[in-house]
Amino acid sequence: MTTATIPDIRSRRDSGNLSELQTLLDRLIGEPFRFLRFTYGDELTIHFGELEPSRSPKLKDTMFGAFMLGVRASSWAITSAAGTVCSDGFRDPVSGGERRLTKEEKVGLETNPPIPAGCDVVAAVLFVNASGQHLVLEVMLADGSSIWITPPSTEVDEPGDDGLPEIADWELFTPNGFLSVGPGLAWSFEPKKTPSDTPRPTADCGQQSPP
Amino acid sequence: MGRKRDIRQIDAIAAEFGMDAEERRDFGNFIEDCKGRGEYGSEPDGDFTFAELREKAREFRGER
Repeated sequence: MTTATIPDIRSRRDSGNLSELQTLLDRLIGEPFRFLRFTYGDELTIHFGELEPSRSPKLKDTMFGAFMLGVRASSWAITSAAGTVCSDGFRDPVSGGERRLTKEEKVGLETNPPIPAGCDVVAAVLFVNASGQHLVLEVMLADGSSIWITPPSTEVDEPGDDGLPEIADWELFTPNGFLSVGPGLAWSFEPKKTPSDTPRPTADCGQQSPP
Repeated sequence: MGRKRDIRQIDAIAAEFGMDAEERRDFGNFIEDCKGRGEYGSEPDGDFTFAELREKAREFRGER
């Protein structure tokens, strides 16, 4: 467990496209927190709402929240009555350096999350970070806990990364579709297809210019 | 290997196999489950190489 620095926030953005994004995020309000799960790449996923099984027969015993927030490679912090826990990307107060959570810490968070199961979301608030280049999300819960997701600063590819796709800064699966935010200020929402749907293009909501 | 590269590799394989976002999410969980069962890749930290992930995608799809 490390002590987090709350992200450097300049302002809450209130422009047209981001207002639409905020409206999509507002769908989280009233949904109960269920559990945390780490997936490949140490990505934290946060599950809310009714629990649903996977479509995949390979994951027949794995449940997902109807709303699932994936932090991708962003930094995250959870503040609660129990204190603050965070990913790498924040300074370790002991070593002064950055570090990953240990396997034991991750298992501990999954089995004993700092947010009580069943605690409702009361707000999902969007911010633009101090550089004006990333969208930060704070999810606030009824018990006073908060989940912060802070995208990484712009990074240069490492050797061997050539040809790998860019990834979103964070994403939200919902019963109605898939929201992908970033990199940068771009975001998109792809409505969930139903068997009666004809193929339709992704609703790309474009890139906002930094102020 | 960095977290971001791990995730980008999963996304690259998902795109190669035509997975939608939900299937890509499930594939990432499947890979983590494999590691939880003691099936590690040949990267120094137990992660899978790109070629190994491709094989895992076939396994996930029930193609092998």
